[in-house]
Amino acid sequence: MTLGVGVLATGVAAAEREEHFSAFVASHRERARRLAWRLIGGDEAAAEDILQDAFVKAYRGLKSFRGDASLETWFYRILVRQAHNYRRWCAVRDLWSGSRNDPSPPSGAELGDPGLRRRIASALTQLSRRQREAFILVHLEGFTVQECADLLGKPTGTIKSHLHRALTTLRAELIDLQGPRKE
Amino acid sequence: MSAKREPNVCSPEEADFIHRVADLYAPPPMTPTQRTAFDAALEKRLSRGARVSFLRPVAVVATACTAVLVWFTIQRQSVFLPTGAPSSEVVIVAPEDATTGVEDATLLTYAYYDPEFYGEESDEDNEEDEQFLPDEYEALATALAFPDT
Repeated sequence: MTLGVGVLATGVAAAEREEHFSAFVASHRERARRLAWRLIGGDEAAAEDILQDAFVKAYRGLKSFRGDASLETWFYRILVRQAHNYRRWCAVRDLWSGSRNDPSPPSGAELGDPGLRRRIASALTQLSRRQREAFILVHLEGFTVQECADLLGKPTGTIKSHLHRALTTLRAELIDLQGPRKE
Repeated sequence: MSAKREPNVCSPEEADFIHRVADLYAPPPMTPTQRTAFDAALEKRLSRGARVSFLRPVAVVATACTAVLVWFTIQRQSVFLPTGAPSSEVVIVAPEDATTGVEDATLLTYAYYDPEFYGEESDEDNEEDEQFLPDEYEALATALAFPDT
């Protein structure tokens, strides 16, 4: 279900707003969780925490939401920022503790090859923040370049540049994934 | 001359690479149990948040009132309680015929606010004042070993 801009805006009755917000959560929960998981490097528990925080912030901020952007863009912007804050917090924590965490913790590793997943997570850390976010949003999550630009608050040209560089770097880092695809 | 290609329009090799990465780098979908737990936790946080936002102004006012009350109490105690090192402005004077606590408090208040009442402080004054202190105070002062007594 996709919500219109005005559905959750001010002036709508609280009960109706809550009902629509529940529908919004139900329709975006899975995609948003996957996005958070990819943005933070594959920690399932942390991804769920970030998603909860993003939903809570969005809910509390509904009164101030003026419909300048679509509700989805607004929500995903909050989510990307939450994920970034989490990564930054992890970096500070690692700096203070003098250790470096594995970029791909084992949680959620029931599917696929955990080793490959770790390598992809490690390759993604080679990218700059914006390159990584643009690559994940556009190539892995299917956002358009325009949506990604709105979400990150950057011009489309900058996003295209990030995408190009990210793809080049990742192909060089993960060269063994470029062979013929095994079905 | 090479045609400038849109970076988001990928070649077949690039698209294949991206699909592989997308397939390999994804969390397992939520189970129905996980979904239910997630929704319950979210609902709990949202309702808690509403309660917290309602109580926040009340908490701010209560904290401010408590701070003012504590400050006022400390100020009052600093006037009436004897201290080990009396400041140059406060001298505790006990008149010979001091009888009740109310009178003492009144005198002390005058002493605090009216400089002419106590005049200049000197060691002689202190020694003289100590003669009028009750025995209990002297015992306490000895026990607690106030530096100036």
